[in-house]
Amino acid sequence: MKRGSDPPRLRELLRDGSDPLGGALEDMREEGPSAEELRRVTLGVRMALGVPPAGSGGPNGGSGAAGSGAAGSSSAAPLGTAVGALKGSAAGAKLISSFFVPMAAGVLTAGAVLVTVTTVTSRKIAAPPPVDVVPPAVQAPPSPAPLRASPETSSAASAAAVTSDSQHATETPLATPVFRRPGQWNAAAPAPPPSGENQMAPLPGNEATQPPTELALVNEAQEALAARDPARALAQAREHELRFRDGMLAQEREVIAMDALLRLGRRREAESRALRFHAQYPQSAHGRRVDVLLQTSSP
Amino acid sequence: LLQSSRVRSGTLDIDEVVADHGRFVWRVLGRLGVPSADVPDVCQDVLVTVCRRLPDFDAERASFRSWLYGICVRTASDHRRRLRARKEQPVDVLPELPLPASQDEELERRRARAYLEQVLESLDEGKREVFVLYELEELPMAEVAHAVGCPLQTAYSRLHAARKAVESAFRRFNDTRRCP
Repeated sequence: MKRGSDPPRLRELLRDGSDPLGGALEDMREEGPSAEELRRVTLGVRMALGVPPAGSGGPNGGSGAAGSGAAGSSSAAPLGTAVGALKGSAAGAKLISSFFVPMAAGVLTAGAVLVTVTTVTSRKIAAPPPVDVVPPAVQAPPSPAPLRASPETSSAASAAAVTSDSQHATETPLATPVFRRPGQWNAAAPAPPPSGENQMAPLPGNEATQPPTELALVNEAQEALAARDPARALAQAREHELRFRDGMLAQEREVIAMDALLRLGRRREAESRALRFHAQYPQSAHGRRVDVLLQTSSP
Repeated sequence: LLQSSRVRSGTLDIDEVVADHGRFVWRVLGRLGVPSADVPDVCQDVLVTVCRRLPDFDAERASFRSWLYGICVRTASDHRRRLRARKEQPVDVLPELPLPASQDEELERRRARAYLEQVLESLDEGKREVFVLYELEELPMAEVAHAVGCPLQTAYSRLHAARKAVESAFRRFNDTRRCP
């Protein structure tokens, strides 16, 4: 590798930190999936390859005691055997459908980590799994997780593995989670176009040219929260919602609103807002924060 | 990275593959223009491909990393093509530019980050790939060229062009920031 002749990287050239490009490059470099997102990917890969998740000890595999017995042996088994064990098994079907419930997935994979540690095992991927992996009757229940390894795609993917080893063997139709803007959400409050009529204090230096910004609204909401004034924070969040319903900071606004609602003791509203949030932004970087908020402020 | 002995023996542990590479793959896909809503699915695709094709991996011909990135680049490219064909836009909310200025350092940083994403989006595919792999993943240029499948010299000129575009876009960004 001709490493020596490579030019210095932009990030190194802009190291003083004051340059927005340098900062943006740094930030982008540091981004990545959360542990939970990676766990879902692990599950998805296993399903697509026809390997049952490690720690799937039985129909009640979500119990947390999944690190023993059948789980260990199926984890250590070569692909074909492991798939065989699942094939046609009602228990397996039940078990698989439970993976698509995100809560169960979290607990299960906690077990999976244990199993993987104890059975450092080599599975021969070269052996293609049988096509008919899962009984077709199994239906994945609706889940906010965009995990694509439904039984249908799982068997289709396995079929692809048998028939083709091409780079793009996974030409299964993508069940892409299309970003939706729920019409019913805030239907009564159509967002007016941002205009100069806003009464919020404009940012310093911006008076003449800039209409009041969504940044200002979210900033103020955040400051109100920090100042232990959840009612004001909620009001600011509402204002933002009215003006910039699907704005750039809509997710931030929602997190602030939920936080404020919880502090005001309006847990039920916060929870329904959290549900909508997860449905609308299944991949949000704030998803975990929302969960943590709800967990840590339990009544 | 996966131990080369394991790679050579053609065996692997799926959890290990994801643990070792999932993070890289996820990031690269996002930067290569896979809409964030699709990243988990495409990441899964890549890792499935990796698991399936591992027996084909030839450590003599390429480093594991450039092989892996090669798969990312091709899968991301396929995905974008499919999206274009379906004219679907499953993206999270993209900020509209020019964005209003802000005094808030943290928000300002996020704004720059979002802007960089838009700028990358505006690059053509080849330039974007080279830029991402060299500037963000910090692969050596030789590996970048291998991953995207072009001659080294071409990779250099793409990098040069991409940098020029990014830097000039950020000059404009800085101008709007300084002149309220």
